[in-house]
Amino acid sequence: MKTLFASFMMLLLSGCVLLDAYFMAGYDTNEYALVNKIKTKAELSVEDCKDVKKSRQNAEDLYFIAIEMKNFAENIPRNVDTTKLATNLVELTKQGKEQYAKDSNVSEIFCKLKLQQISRSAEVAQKVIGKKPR
Amino acid sequence: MNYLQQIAQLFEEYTFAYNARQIGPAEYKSLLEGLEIEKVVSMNAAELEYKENLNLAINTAIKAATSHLGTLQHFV
Repeated sequence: MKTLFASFMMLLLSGCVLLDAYFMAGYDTNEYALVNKIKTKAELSVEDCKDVKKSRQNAEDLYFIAIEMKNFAENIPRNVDTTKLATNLVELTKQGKEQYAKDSNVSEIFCKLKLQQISRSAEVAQKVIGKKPR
Repeated sequence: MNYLQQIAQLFEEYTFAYNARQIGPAEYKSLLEGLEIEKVVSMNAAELEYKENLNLAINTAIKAATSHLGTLQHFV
């Protein structure tokens, strides 16, 4: 009886995974453009790291774009995985923004390292978003 | 280099910068929290990639089955 129940549960679970994969949200140009914008902005902002005022603005801009991406992705049906990635990017950019909000003398090296974190994560997300089914 | 090795290397880099007083304690904490998120990003991306591959496999199988059905109907 236990074996039968376990087999039934395994079938049910694998069926759910298959259905989830089959009906997953397809590739969306806007989603891809937003994650690309985050990556590009993070890469280019490294050049401004010597200027705290500019860097603070860059951190706020990155946070805004990440929120924009999350808001865009979260209401597309069956798009949970991309929404998770967008939420991660929101958290990462929020950390940078908050550091500038509480410290008037953020170091240049922190600025560079945080932007590298954002850029790397956006690139990882971009690669999988670009491979979503057409 | 896989993402866990990369994260371990970055941890060393941040700790070195902190010990050399190139970054402050709050900055160090923020970078470590960022590393944690990077790890989650890699895991979530792997999950999405798995579903994409599964989606491709299902659609390929459906196409193959459909064309097979078409061939069978042609003979009937």
